[in-house]
Amino acid sequence: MSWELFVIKGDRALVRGFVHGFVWGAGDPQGVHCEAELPLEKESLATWLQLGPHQRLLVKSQLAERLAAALGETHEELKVQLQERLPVRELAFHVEARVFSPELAAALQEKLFAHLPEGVEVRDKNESQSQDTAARGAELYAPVHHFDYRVSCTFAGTVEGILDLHRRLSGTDFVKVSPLRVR
Amino acid sequence: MVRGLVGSLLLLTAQLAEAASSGDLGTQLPAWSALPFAGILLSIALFPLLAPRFWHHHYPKVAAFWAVVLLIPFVAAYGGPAVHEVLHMAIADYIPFIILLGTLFTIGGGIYLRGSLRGSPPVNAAIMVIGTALASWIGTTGAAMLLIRPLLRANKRRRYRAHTVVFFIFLVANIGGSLTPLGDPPLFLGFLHGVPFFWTLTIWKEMLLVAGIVLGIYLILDRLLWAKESPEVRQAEMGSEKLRVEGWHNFFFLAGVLGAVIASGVLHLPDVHILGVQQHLQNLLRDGFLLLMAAASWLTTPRRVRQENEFSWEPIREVAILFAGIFATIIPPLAMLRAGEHGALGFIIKAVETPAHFFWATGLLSSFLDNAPTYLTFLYTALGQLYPGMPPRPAILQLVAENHAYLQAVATGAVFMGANTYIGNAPNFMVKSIAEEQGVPMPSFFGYIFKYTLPVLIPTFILATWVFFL
Repeated sequence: MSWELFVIKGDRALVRGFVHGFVWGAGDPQGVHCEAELPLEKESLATWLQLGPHQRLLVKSQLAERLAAALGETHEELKVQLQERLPVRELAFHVEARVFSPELAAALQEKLFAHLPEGVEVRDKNESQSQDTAARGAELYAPVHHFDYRVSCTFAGTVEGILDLHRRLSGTDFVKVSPLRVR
Repeated sequence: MVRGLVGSLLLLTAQLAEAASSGDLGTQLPAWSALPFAGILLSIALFPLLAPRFWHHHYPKVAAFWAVVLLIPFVAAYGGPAVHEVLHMAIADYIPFIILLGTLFTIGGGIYLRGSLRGSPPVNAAIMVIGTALASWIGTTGAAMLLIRPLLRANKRRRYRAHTVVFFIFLVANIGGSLTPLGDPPLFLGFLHGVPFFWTLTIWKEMLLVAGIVLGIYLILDRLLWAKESPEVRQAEMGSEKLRVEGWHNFFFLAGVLGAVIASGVLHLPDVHILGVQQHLQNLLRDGFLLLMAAASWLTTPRRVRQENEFSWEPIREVAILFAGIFATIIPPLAMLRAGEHGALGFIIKAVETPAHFFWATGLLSSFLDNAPTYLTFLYTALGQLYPGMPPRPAILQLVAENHAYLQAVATGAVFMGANTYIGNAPNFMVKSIAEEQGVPMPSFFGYIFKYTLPVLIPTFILATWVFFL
């Protein structure tokens, strides 16, 4: 399924309301994701100054033409304007995690890599594991974990797959998840 | 390190020799002879954060470095009196201190709470209350070791657990230890220096207020987070394993420790001299009895119980090594503070005047440096301010009789505010480490301060200041 990125100028709440009405009317409530509901990477200050109040949408390609036309028709009345339309090649996000027991490391590996959604791949994976037998047991003044597992990687792929994985990992203990990057 | 050590030794020797030529130790020592003391305290505070692996493997060398930096020039410059001070510190303070901590640790490590608990707010609060009450009698480290694993087991299925561990650190690993000299190392140091055993019970009002507020906040927070847990967690049945205490006979050994420590403060047997250091016979008998209790606990407790507690000697080894360095390097600052405004640290004595000042100064330093030496430093600051030049023991008794608010402020500041950071008190880091290994995502160093200390503890301490020290 291909997607497009829409950049729309205008009142954010109004755009959001309009888009929600549109997708329900089109019979595909998951066909558009508004920025307010997506943890997208922040834009640069320069972009903000250049465009003024705006928001980004992820739009399924099959709805893109109809949405663009609908926005064009209401442009005058609602004072919203489709500023930019770009094809989405992929979505991506970065993950970092660190745990301190072999059991937790195994559970984390399972959670991160065992059941990847279709169309999602792992890139730049860095994994390290160390064990310090001298650090086993309770320590008061020189606490070091006897086991230390760290992993970082980037997940990239289809919009549906990445959104699903991002939602799954966002609430996971010990896992730091970056915002979504649109490419 | 070797070059630094030699350079420091030469410089300090020259300075101390100059001071030694002009008389009394406390009034003549230069202010910077306290630097090795500051150095070891800062090392203990910063290395675990900045270079944990280096510190883990090399802390004995770091402690030895600071001790040697002070001791060699100190002894070279002052000769016999300096050797006497060092021996006095070792025999009267260090050895009894390590024996008590070692004994409590050995006995506490022989008690294991087995059974299934469900981490609901009432059960968690009950564990907090038991731990807070127990901490004054088996030490904050012992109480934390005894209860942290049952608490983590009880909350294993919960999504929101980190706050419970943080409040456990506040209450069990710190605030709870304020009622007896067995509770927290600073109070035992005070006892060794002449604070009567039962005097610490007089801070029950401060303890009750602070512990009550913190526990109340915990209950509200835990209730709110409990409501956010999934229905499966909230409706889960308690496990089938019955609650029971293994190694319960160790409570008798704890009672023996308590009795021996109290007796050493009440009895007045003849003095003996060890290597020229005057020592009360009852103190020697106490230490011998404590060793006997530790040995009895070790021999009578099944190995399995200690294995369940993941008992090892490492914590006591750490305490023995680091406190050897602390006790060696604290000699000059204590001598200077005893000399009051005539000593080189007179500026500290002038800076802290009221009990409220003592509470916050002791507390804020105890938040980042070890609270035992901090307690001793401010106890002697109070003595230097109120009874300059008087020998410590009679001065402390006079302080208790005439100006006990100062001692209350120092004691509560040191014990309560050890909870302010992970590095404020030794068990804090231990609890954090155990919790992380059990899968609890604990807050970072600053996360702990901003999310919990500033909104919960600091307002509580401000209220305590207003109620008790203004």
